[in-house]
Amino acid sequence: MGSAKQEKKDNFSGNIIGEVIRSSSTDFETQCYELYKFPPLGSLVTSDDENPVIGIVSHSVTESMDPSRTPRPRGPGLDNVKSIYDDSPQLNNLLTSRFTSITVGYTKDSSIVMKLSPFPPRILSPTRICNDSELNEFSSNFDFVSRLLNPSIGSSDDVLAAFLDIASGLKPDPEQYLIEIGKEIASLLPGQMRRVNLILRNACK
Amino acid sequence: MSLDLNSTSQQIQNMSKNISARETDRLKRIETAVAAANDFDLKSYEIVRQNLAELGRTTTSIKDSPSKTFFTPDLPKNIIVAAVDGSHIDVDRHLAAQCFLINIGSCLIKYGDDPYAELATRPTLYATDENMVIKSADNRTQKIQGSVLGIKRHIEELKELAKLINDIPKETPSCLFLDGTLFPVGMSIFPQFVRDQFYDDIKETMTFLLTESSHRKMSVAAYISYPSHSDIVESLRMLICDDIAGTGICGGCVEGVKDRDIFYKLLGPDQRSPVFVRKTTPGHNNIACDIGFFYVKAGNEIVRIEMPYWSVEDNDIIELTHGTSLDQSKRGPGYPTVLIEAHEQAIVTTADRESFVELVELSLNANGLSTPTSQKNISKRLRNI
Repeated sequence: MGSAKQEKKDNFSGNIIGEVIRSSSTDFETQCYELYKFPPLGSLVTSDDENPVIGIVSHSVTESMDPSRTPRPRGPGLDNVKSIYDDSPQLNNLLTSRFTSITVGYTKDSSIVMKLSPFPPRILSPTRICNDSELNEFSSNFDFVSRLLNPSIGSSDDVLAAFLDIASGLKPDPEQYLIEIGKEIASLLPGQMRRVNLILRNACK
Repeated sequence: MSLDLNSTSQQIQNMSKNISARETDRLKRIETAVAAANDFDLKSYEIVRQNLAELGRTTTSIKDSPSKTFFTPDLPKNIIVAAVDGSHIDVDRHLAAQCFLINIGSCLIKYGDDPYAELATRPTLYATDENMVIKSADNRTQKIQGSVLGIKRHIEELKELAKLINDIPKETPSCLFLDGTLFPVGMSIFPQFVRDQFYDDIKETMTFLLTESSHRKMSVAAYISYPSHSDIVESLRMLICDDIAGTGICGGCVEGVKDRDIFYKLLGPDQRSPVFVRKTTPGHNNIACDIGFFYVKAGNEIVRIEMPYWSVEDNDIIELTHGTSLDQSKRGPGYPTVLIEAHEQAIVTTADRESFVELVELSLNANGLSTPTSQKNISKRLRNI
């Protein structure tokens, strides 16, 4: 039992991509260990501490670590962006990639609860990308949809579409999955069929 | 009440007029110095120099005419550059705790295959009698603060630079940079036992660097932007100034001219001057303060590069230093990238200083100690009217 738990932990640790640097009841921000190594928009992630909080990536940013030092263009004359980073390897130390995750649930007693967590993640909790089985389990329940459609979230429809694109890819019948969740979205957005269609169309790309 | 800018502005204008009135004369003196460099007679200079050296004067050894120029060498594809810089928080007598802090920033960049960079900062608090005071054998003491702390910090920077060698593979050519002069200036005003202590520290580090440089291709360079030295101008004076051999007072032929003024005229873009050597004790090598130096035209300014004296016999190391200094300056742009990043790591901002004071007071309070401070300090914080 102990070794199985350890094995599970080892598998998870491979997916750890950064640590929480800001957290609130509704979202949390993660700083990546490596520049540009953030998960794609719509990815399901979790804070990896004693009260794991589950989030969907809604926004990513790469910028200077020091706000008073902005990047300056290196060209013209350099072939491609890779050569710029090879030529100035310190950029990897001076820039930072971060992403914000909308809180969509938490884990309690090994079960997913689709509500806001009673407590936000602790600062410096590791953040990891959820594995396929966790994503499958999470996306089988549609309760998260209403949270993502919250108008306070910037580009919420695109974030939802990006999540559905990733989640549907794991389903045996992606099309059927999108039809079923489309009904849920339609029920939450009465009279907004064009918007619903746009979300589903973006999820199919 | 803030600075009265109206009153100050008038004084600044008067200053500018005075400088402008003297400019024509200054340009003439630069032309005189440049002409002297072009006509430099190595043999005559060496005779004069040896005479002065025998009198105990520190002189500059010149083996090539100052007007000789050297083109930029090619750099190896794989190279490592490293640099350190430092800042400090001085002892504040208004604080409840007597202490000072030295913060050393470092940067190491590998170019070529598998490029990478390492940035680090290392703060060290000095708060005990043992490390806040220099003691002589006969129990005389010197507190480390003010200008003494400045020298102490310089030596700590040198030590940190030496430590960076551990992170550099032996087979990769490297250039280690310091900001400013290679050896600290201004030590002559300190008591002998303080100077001895500092010289011993420097000697230990330089001996380590000398040993390391014997089995790897490595240069140590102190990068001085917009230098105000006049070693070469002083050497020119020895040949052209009639008064020098007598009273030692120049009649004004090249007075006020800096080395950078003449090398700005003599050097083409990216070119360097010959390497000159400044020895403090004629006929002897002093590892703790003898240097080689050259000037290089990097972009719009003349830069002075100082190297340990042992480097000047190795042309490969001179070329490595010349090429790396220029390359780094171009990457900056204008000032070496590696020094910029080391500086950014070292810098202690005003906010940092305030946080430091708060941390000290909080820590003392947590240990049951009160934190009395001077009324002057309290009035500065409150700024009541």
